Amino acid sequence: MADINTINKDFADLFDQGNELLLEGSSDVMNETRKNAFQDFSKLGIPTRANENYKYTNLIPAFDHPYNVNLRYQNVDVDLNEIFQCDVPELDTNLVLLTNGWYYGNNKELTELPKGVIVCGVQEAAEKYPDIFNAHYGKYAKTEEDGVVALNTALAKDGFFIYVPKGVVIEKPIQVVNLLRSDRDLMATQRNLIVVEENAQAKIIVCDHTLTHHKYLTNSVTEVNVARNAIFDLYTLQNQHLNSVILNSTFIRQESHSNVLSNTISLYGGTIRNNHHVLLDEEYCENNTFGMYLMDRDQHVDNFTSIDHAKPNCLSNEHFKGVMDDQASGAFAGRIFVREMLSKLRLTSRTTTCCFQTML
Amino acid sequence: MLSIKNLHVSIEGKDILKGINLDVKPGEVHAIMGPNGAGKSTLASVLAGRDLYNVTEGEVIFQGKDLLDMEPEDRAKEGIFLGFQYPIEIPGVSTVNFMKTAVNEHRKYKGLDPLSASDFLKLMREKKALVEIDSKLTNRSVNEGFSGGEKKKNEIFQMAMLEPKLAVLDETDSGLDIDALRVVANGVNKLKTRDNATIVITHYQRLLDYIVPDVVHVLYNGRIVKTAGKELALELEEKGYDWIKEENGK
Amino acid sequence: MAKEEQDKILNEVTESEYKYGFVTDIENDDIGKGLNEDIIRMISAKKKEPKFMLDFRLKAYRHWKTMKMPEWAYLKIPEIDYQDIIYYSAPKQKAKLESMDDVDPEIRATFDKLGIPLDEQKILANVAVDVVMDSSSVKTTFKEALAEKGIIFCSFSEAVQDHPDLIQEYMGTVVPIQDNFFAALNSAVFSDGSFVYIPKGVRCPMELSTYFRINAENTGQFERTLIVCEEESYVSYLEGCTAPMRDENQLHAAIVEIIVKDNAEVKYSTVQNWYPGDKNGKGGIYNFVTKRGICEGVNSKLMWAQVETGSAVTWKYPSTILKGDGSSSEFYSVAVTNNYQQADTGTKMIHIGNNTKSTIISKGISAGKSNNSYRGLVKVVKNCEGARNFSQCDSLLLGDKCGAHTFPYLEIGNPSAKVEHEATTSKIGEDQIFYCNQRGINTEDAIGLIVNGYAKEVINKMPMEFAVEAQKLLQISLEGSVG
Repeated sequence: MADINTINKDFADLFDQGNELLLEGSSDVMNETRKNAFQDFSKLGIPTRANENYKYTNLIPAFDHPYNVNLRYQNVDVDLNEIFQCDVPELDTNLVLLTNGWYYGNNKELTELPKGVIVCGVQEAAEKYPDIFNAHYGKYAKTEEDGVVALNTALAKDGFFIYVPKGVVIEKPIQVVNLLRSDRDLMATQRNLIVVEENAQAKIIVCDHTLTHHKYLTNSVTEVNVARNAIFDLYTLQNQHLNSVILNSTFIRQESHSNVLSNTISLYGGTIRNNHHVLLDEEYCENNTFGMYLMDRDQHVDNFTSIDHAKPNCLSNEHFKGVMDDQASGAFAGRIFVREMLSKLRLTSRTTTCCFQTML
Repeated sequence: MLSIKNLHVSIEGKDILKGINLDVKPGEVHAIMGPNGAGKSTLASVLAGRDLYNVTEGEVIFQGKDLLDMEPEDRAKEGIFLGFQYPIEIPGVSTVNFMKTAVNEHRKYKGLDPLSASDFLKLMREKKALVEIDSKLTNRSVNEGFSGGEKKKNEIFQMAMLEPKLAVLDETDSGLDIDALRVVANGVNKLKTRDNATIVITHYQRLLDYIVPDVVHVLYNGRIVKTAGKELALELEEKGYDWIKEENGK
Repeated sequence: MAKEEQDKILNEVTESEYKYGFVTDIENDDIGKGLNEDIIRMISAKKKEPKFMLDFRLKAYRHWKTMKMPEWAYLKIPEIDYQDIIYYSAPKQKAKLESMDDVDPEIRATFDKLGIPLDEQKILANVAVDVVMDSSSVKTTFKEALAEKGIIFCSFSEAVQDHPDLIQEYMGTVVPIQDNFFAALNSAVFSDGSFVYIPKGVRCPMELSTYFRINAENTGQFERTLIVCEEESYVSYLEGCTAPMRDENQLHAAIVEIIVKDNAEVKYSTVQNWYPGDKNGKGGIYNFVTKRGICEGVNSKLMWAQVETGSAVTWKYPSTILKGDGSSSEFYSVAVTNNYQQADTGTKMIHIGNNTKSTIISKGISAGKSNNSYRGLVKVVKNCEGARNFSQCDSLLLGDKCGAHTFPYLEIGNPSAKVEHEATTSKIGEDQIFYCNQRGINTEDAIGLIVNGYAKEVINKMPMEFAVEAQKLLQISLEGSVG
């Protein structure tokens, strides 16, 4: 078994040897951010359990594996629109697919979106909408604090980009389905950006699925900015297989009077780690961070949340619930920061875990 | 019904309202729009009688009476309802008890006997259905642990219970998603009669798609700088407030 | 709300008058002012007491003479001239009373004004009442119904005559005469009180209630309550207190002793509404009370619930000695102070038996220029295994001239004990008041609503009819209080 230094060195080698491919097709802003992120990663490395924030999840076995890494979009030999069907009945959504962390090349056109709404891949967004993209990309995800996030930013090539212009309400949710489909064990890096402008409203559902039984490691980072008076709901549905590792980091920044609900539901996966960061950057924000996990066998789920009350008069609620069976393990760490002596503040944090003990 | 003449208001020596004139007749819906800091919420608070503010000049006549001369609770009982932008939590006081006290105070003021417990609960059931508020909320302490949207719904529920002559809804739309906005607007519309009036204060036009105003005013820098029909709201939504600011020299 | 406006409303609030302030004009049988051994002999003789009682009194008096008034409480008390107090005053009565109609109409009118449950209606409501007016029991209802179950509920004087063995066995066992200054004084001069005895296995079928009222001028009220609950028995006991308005301060120094045996349970509820003095701090009752119970038997339970709105000065710590293994005690208190009232109250929970449990919920409400202190002791002795305590002390302030203080004492002698303490202090906010105003609720009623909401946890622990009264009292004593 490799030690952590070997793993970190492997990534350094990948960054050096794959540098040309990494830079290819990415915008200058992405590549500049990439460079800084790699420096941060070189300092931080993959977090071990000695790191206070990762003390409940051992990432060494997750990374200690010869994965394939795609630094270029790989064409898919079948029509994913044909082979993938969302099983949830009566779920009427604007659906887009991602394959192994990349925005799928043959997504159906979304005809029902209101004017001005953009749904596309990150590479495409960086090229076509540089003003919006550059104003937000890399601004919220902190690479200097978490090696996983730094690694994501260093290797980021694509993911989904969603933009909701000022005052626009998208009533029908946007559904993003991340499909993992490979004939070899794979590490996918996915980088997403969601921008919800003033007084806009959107609901986004992100689902993870595995289409083959190879070992997968997904390192996904999503940055979200929710502007003044905007309302945004983010549902994450994690449903992979026992041989997969999900590292999912979300960074949400909220402006005044914005209202964000996030709900992370972990149904199936070998090892799942969710980092959920919320920055209440202006007054009168409301944030509800919820989560649920259903785990059995030897699955492991670790929800780490950090809610930063940077300004007064914000409201945050946090509630996680879990049901565990067999040898499954679960962890929850909720950090709440109150930066000043804030006079009007209400926050709640609750976690409930229910364990089934199988009768033998 | 309501007549505001040359109203000047200051707080801690700083002038906020600089000569407001406004006439509201029964059956009308007025929208007051404006950029942040224009004085919209101050106007609402002054009408309700919050004494953080000093009225330095002008008069407000409500149904023939000098409103500024009345205590806040008497203004309420005369029929003024303020839907708060940030509704207050009162821990330990059940919504039922709170509303029962309020409704019976209103009845006493009108010379009516207090409602019996069963009549009151019946009234509550009716109004809850009218504004589509969940019993889960009314069974809890007033606004305690409510989300922003729940608080706003609770304001409309209280409005339904108290049947005001003039409802002033201060940024009732902020923090509401589109579904909650429809519920709230629906409630307001159902409560509308020929005899009552509503002043809707909002920054955005969206609410006015659902609560359609007869008149739209633009409040800027302590003055009403523009008054027109509902199309003004759409214009503001499209063009923002900058042109208002430019027209008014800032 | 502007500062001046707040003050104005606060003043209006504090100007609310004591609603139970009136004097009943009936003849009193006094023994004159002052205290010495002759007075004590006279009290004992008037009450035709057996010799053991006189001995008890004299022993207490001799001990009291060696003691000083305690000064540790967070109270400012002017010096009390113990020779300027009438120590015995019983309403003169013509004959033994056979029915309600025989009760002095003046006294009955007083009761009616108080709204105390002596009338037929309330009797139907299943409340047995023992009234102590200026120290002498006037009338006890329901005695027969209780007697059938073997329950004794009578005045202390009667118990001394009819059940001297029980009195001799239990009196002074929970609060010994040398316990403290006021306990010693009470033991020397106490005039009357109540006695309750619940035999083994009996659940008392009704709430037992006593109403205390200080009526005559310059009298001290020294009553004494003794409750004995045998194994597997249960009783809920209610105590209410009022006093008329007087310019002078009146002294009240009572003793309550409760003995709870194996698997027995006692609930002791108090609504204390002695005259608190006027808005300038003139007059009012000095209330120095020693209340203590012992959970002697295994799994025995004792609950104290109290709403205290009265008295100029209150010095009171209902306490429980948890001696029996698995015994438990709860203390729920709302103490309100307004104007110049001073209260230093709390509880003591002494854990001796193994796996004993105590809960303390104390809610202080201060208004005007009053001071409200919570003083609580949780003690776990060395050999006590598995003790648990949860304490919560909340203070609510109305206005900015009042004070709230918390003095929790923890003496934990055994590492297996689990003791938790929580405390909060909050102020009724202007925005809460304005919100109520805007719904048509005036400031006074708004405060009533908020305060009752705050005190709900405690009031809910009281028997129904008491809870209603307690709510009214909170409203009256804080009428229109504001933050």
